Amino acid sequence: MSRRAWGWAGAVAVAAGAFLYGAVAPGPPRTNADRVHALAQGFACPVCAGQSVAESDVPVAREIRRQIGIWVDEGRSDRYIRDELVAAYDIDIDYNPSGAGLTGLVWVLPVAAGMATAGALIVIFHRRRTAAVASTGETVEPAAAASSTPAAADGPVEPAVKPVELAEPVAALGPLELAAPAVAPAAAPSRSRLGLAAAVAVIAVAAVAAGVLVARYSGSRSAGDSITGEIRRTSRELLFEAQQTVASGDIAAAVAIYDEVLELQPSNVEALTYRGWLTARSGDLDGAAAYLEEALATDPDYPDAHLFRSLVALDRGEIERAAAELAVFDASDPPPFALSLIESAQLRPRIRQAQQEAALTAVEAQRTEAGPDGAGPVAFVATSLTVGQVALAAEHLAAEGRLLDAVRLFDWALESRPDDAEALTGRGWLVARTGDPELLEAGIAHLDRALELDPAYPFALVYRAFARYQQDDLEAARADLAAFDAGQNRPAELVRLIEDFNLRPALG
Amino acid sequence: MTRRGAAWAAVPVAVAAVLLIVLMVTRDPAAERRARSPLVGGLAPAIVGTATDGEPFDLDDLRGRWVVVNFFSTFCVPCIVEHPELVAFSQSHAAVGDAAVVSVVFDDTAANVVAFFEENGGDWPVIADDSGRTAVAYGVTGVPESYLVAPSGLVVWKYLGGITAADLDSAIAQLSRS
Repeated sequence: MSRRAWGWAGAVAVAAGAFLYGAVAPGPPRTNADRVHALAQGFACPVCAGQSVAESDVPVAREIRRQIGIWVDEGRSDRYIRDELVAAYDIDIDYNPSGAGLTGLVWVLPVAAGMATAGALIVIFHRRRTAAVASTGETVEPAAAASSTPAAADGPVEPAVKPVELAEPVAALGPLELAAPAVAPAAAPSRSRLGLAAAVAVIAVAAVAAGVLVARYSGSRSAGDSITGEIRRTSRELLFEAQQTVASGDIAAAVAIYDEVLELQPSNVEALTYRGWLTARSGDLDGAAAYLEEALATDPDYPDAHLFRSLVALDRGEIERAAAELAVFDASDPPPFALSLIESAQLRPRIRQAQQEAALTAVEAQRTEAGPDGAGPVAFVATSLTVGQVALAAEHLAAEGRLLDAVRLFDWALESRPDDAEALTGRGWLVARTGDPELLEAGIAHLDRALELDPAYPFALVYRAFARYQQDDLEAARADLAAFDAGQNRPAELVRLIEDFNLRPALG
Repeated sequence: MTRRGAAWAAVPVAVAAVLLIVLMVTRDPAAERRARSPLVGGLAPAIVGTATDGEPFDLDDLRGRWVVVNFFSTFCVPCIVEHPELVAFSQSHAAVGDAAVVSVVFDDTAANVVAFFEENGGDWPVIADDSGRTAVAYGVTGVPESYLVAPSGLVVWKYLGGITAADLDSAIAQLSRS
């Protein structure tokens, strides 16, 4: 058969093979259910021996199948599904491992081994053939000599196959002189080793390259997947990274990450909140307030936003706003980090002190006005003050050591409002907590009166529990505490007071 | 094959044997209940949904605390044995608020779970996970299975089988020190 005929035969064979493959090879899954089944066949059941997720009926295989179905319905790519399962169950679950990284060796090694074996076989056959020719040349010297003539240009085999035809004319030229360079006993082994080494190197490089290519293009890359894979991180991952960055002290980098999150999700509450907090730390209180307002507009219950808004409000001099935000925060379930932040920022004492100072200023401004008769201060009811402001002002005076002035302030309010439970409680606690037995007795009397007016008033109950504990009347103290616990209204500041002073363990 | 050839052929076999021995010596024993997981060291997969009591739940809201993510079902005997330990752990940390438990139902019904908690106690969030998404995201292979999530949000330990409050407290103490 001529070379042309061989070429046509080869082309026909390739075409026939392609048609045959196209006819019998399975096509892509037609429905989502087909795709789920095809995917499930590619994953090992994590708790079975030799069964795929598609074959096994153990609960975990069912859960994985169900989850694959959800992902397929969501339009996720095969690559995404594979990555999710490998991230959860490790690479062992994947029957069709990736071509990337160390795992790619499972693709590279078989191809490399195959090519290396083929290369080795070629080298071996070539050496045997060369050896056979050489041995033939040694026995028929004229044939070996003829290999150096122009007639032997097609290759070294022909002289060996047809030694007789070439022997006569060549022999006339003198066989010994021409045979020497053709046999070249000293040079031939050196060229052979060099050639062998080169061949091995070429084969090795080609084998590894082929393996890498197979790994790259036969790995689990799906149609539509990008060459470099998914590089965009989720908002959640970015938020986590931002937290770590804040913890490391790199505020500028953290700000950049939060901005990236806000590009992805402009109303991400956590990003808005912490972007606002970092803005406040940079000194831009107005900018911080804007971020935090946006966060609270998106999620009014997010406790961290309330805490940071409280801190920002306090720094802006908005004392009541700071107190209100802190109250909302206290009513939530604050995380431990927030409690330590409140502690380190001294938020509560700062708010309290600011409230007391503001209240004292207001009280002093109105109380110094003379009454209608011109003697003494104006009546409490004639002012716009509240009992709460009086209590705060009195607390401030007491903290400055002006206990008598504080008591007078309460008495001034009680002259006009003798049945005000809040004023009675404030006055009672002010004197009771001094620890002096007489004042303790007088304080309890005021607290008793407050509780007669409002038996469930939580402040009076807790303060009287403390006062009775100081009197060693533990049973009465326990009763007050139990009444407080049974009440609907348990202010956070009273709960903290009880905890801070270990009242419960003390009462047993 | 020549002697020299045989010696060269023996080299890769010897290397492979040594590597195998090293691998076996350095791995955790099969009986170790603290299991390997690709999740350990990574961010805990999200758990977002509505708990069986109707309250919304988001694992990220517990950031700053140790969280035990427990996968269970009511008909699994080790889960029933484990439950009082989780109750004890939850109660012992309730006052301080430094640790919390969240249970994820595996291959069970919400009605069974509600009845189970009414009978056996426990007031932590329980997520139904009807789609199985959470279990698959955590690489759960059976129940009970638990994951310890650090205050940073990273998964630090995975447990196979039932755990005790002492196991958890010991792990938290050890990890807090490190």
